[in-house]
Amino acid sequence: MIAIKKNKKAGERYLSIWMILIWFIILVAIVIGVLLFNSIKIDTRAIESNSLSERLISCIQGNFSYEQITSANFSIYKFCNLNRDVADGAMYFFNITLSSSGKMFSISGGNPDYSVQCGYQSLSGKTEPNFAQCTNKQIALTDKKTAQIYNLQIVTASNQKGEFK
Amino acid sequence: MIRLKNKKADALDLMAGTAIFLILNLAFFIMLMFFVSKAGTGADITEQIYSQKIAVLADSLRPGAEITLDISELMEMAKDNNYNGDIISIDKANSTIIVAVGKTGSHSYRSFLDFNRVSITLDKNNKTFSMMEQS
Repeated sequence: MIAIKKNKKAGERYLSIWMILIWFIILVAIVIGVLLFNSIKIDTRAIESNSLSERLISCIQGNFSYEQITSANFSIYKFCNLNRDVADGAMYFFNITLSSSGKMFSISGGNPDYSVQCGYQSLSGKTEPNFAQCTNKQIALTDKKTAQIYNLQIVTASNQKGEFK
Repeated sequence: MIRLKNKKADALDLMAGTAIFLILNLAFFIMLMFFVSKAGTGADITEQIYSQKIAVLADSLRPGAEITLDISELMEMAKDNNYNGDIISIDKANSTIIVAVGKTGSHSYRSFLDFNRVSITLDKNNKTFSMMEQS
């Protein structure tokens, strides 16, 4: 009776490939769950677009002079205390249109693609989550010097997403 | 005699196997608990929330107005993580608000406001962060 049939070894019983595979699946599931939870972005694009619009309106409205705004050395960035690199960059867009009885003047900055995205959303009446979020406002302004009434239309957009370093 | 020898060897194998099994189990669960506890602090989400909150508040600033934000939560987290660096820093050239509560990373968010005309105060005693745009 030398040839005794060996029992399965304890190590083999517990450390089978299946056991390691199950551990690995549990680990991957937990890591994926945590990463998914942490990757959720807080969408403040609509608020930013509205803030940009409000800022442009408030600084233009404050001491409105058509002559000043249309002058060659006028800078909307300095006038409204905007960072040119950001407001004229890839994440934002703005278009200011001043009009009054035959006169029309426009200033725009930022990513011109958002103009198309804003136009599409405005026409369809739907908010597209993958598009830039837009604000469209229109008010009447009185020129402080000439007392002429102008129509101010402002379209702004933001498509900013945060960064992790 | 041969049967006895085999029994001894089997017992040793069983002990070694069980020991390896227990060590590997322990290592796996320690690693898992470490990862989950680190992720569970919510530092990542908090950094993201505060960087966006400050950027949105900066966007809505008006000349002459001052905005103060309670940052006690950030300071507590930084203390828990033994982090002594800048919790909130602003890159004025790019108008970027950077929030960090640990050494491992940070979150940043941009504002369209020009911070060269904004005075910033971080009051560590009152745990507040203030911004005021010059008129």
